[in-house]
Amino acid sequence: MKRLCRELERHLESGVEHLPDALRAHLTGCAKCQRAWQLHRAYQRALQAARGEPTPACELPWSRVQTQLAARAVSRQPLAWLRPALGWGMAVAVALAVGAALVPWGSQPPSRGETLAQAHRSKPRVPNAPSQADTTRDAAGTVSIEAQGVALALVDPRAPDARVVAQATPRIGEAARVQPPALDTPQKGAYAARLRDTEPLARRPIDRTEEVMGAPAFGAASEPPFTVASLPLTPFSVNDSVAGVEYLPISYGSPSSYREGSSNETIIGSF
Amino acid sequence: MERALAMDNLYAGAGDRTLTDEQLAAKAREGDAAAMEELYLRYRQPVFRIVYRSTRNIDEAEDIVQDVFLKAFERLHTFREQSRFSTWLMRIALNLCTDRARMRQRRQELLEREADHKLAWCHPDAPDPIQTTQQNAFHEAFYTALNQLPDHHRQLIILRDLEEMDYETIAQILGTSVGAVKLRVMRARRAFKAKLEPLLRAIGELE
Repeated sequence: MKRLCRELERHLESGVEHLPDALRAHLTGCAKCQRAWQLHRAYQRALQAARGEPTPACELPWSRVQTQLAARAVSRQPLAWLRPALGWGMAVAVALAVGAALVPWGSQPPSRGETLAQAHRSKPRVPNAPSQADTTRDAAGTVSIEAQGVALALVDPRAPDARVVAQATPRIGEAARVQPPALDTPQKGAYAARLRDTEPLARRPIDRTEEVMGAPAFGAASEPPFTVASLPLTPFSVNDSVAGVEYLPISYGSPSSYREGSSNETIIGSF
Repeated sequence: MERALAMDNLYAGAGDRTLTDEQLAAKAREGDAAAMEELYLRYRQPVFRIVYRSTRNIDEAEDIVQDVFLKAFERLHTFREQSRFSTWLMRIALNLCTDRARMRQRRQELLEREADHKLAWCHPDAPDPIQTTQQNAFHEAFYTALNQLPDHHRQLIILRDLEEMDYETIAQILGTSVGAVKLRVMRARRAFKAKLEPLLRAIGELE
């Protein structure tokens, strides 16, 4: 009996629609095989019905496919051009970086965009050396110095980013004079004087023997020395032809805050 | 496939009808738009029929057909002439159907999860109760069971039992041997019957 059951199963799995007589006779005595045969018949009927079901026509026009093809080809074109360009760009960038790393900076004349920070780094700094820069601190924590006739300030609570400084700071070189203002002279007074007349700045004598910015010796002994130079707000540039320095006007604060005698300063250097 | 091709001869061909599929594919690879159009018109309806069997939705089937031809024409350079163009195209169609079915299933799961089964009555795949006659119930039971199958089983039922393709063509489409296809078809039918039986009993088609 089991042999006939297996044989029927094999027949059904092969998808036949008619059974041999021996198997047909077996169906009458085996309920399991009878159920399998009924299911197979129902399956065949369902298949027949599904095959006879009309499939709707595809009305997708060629023009739509063609348009999509063209659009996708166009969208891929920049990428195809970009890939080799990116490769070449990367190669050039790497070559430039390697070349820049190999060039000795000291052998080149200082460029116009070199910062106070770079100028300061060119000479070793001695911590707590008050002889290089005499400074004074006002009530707001601002330490004022003078260099090349320009009021400079040391502002300890908000030392600006060196990158910002590098963009905003003209090169002064090794010849900036740092003069401490009088301890009892408010810094605002010096600014007011500079704002009234910026022309003498260019004629101010330069002592090239002195360091640009000395390490300030203010605050606690453990405090790391740093220097921040700042310019007064001015709507026009200041050109120091002797030192080859040009101070560009820098916006800082709101226009309403620019007034004579205000303590607004533009920070141009920090180390 | 031959049957499928024979049924699709009512089109206005744009290219040379005397060329074989592979010759047209070679011309299309070089950018010949007329050859592309000819291939499209030859295989649009056969591809659509197989896709429609799987999706049961005309709009979705047309979207898939478009994707099939876009993919095929963009990747014509990968078509090896060891196989026929028609089987290569059908393989792309089946793969896209599988992708779309997975997306649909994921979307359905999300819907059910969000609605906590409260929106089952408005599910797009749910049969319209007004149109559910006895004949429709038989039909619906068949396609419900078909959609419950895993993709690889459903594809075999469609190719072999609905489209009546020969085992050799199916083996070429699936990239396997004829013996393996026969074995898989047998398993797919067994799985399909297991899904179909309770549905047919529920509508009184089986005692």
